[in-house]
Amino acid sequence: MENKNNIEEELESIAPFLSKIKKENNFSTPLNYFEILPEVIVNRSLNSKLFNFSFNKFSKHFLIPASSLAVILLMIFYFNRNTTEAELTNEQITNLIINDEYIKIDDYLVYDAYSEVLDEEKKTTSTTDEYINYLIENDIDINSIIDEL
Amino acid sequence: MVIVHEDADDVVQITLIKAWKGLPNFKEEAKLYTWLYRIATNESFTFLSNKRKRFFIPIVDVERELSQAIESDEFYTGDEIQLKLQKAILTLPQKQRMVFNMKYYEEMKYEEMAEILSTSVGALKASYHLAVKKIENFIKEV
Repeated sequence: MENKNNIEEELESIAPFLSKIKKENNFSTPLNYFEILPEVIVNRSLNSKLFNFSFNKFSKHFLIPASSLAVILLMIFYFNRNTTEAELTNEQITNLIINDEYIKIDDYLVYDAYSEVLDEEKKTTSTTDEYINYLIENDIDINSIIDEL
Repeated sequence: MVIVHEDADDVVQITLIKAWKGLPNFKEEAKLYTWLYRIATNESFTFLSNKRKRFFIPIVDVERELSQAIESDEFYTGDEIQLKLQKAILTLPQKQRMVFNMKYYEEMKYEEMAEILSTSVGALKASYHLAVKKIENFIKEV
C-alpha cells in the first residue's frame, strides 16, 4: 500500500496530467483461455520435441565436414584470386616481348614474312617502270592515250 | 509489450516451456515470480526483435505497426484516452517501455525491477522519469 502511494505521488509530481488518467488494464483474453492453456503448452512442447533437430557444434560429426568445407572454400577462393585476368597496356606487352623475351621470334621467320611484302612492292615498281619504258621506246604521246580515253 | 493477443499468447507459451525446461537450474536465491518475469521479459524482447528481422522492418515501424494493430485488436477494450495512452507508450524505446509498464501497471519496486532487468535502481528511476515525461507530452500534444 505504501509502495502504491509512493508511485502515485511520484507520478503526480512528474506528470500531473497522466496521473489523472484512470489506471486500468484493457487487454483481455478469449473465453477459457487460461483453462486450455496448459493443454496447448503440453502439445506445443511435445511437437517441438518431435521436430527438434539439435546437434553439438563441437562434436566431430559436425566439425569434420565443416572444416573440410571451409578448406575447399578457401582453396576455391585462393585459386580464383590467382587466376584473375589483368588487362595489359601496349607498352607492357612490348616490354614483355622485347625485354623479358617472353616470346622468342626466329630472325629467319621475320625475314621470310617481310620478304613477301618487299617482293610485292618490287612487283608494283617494276610494272610501272615497264610501262614507262614501253611508252618511250614506241614514242607514244601520253596525250593521245588521254584523248582515246 | 507485444500488444497483439496472438503474439502475447506465443510469448506466454514459449516462456512457460522455457521455464519448465529450466526448472532444474532454478536457484532458490531468486523468487520464482522474479525468475519467471525475467524469462518473459527476455522472450518479449526476442519476439519483437525476431518480428523485425523476419519482415525486414525498422524498429520504429514495428511500434507503428503495433500502434495500428491495437486499434483493430478485438481483445483490447480501452476507451479513447486509454488508446491514446497505449499509443504514447508505444513511442518509447523498448526497454523504457518495459520499465514504464512494470512501474505504472505492475506497481513494482525499483529493486525488483533491477533484479529482473539486470539494471541499477538509479538507471531505472531515470528511465521511468523520462518515460513519464514523454508520455505526458505526447498525450498533451495529440
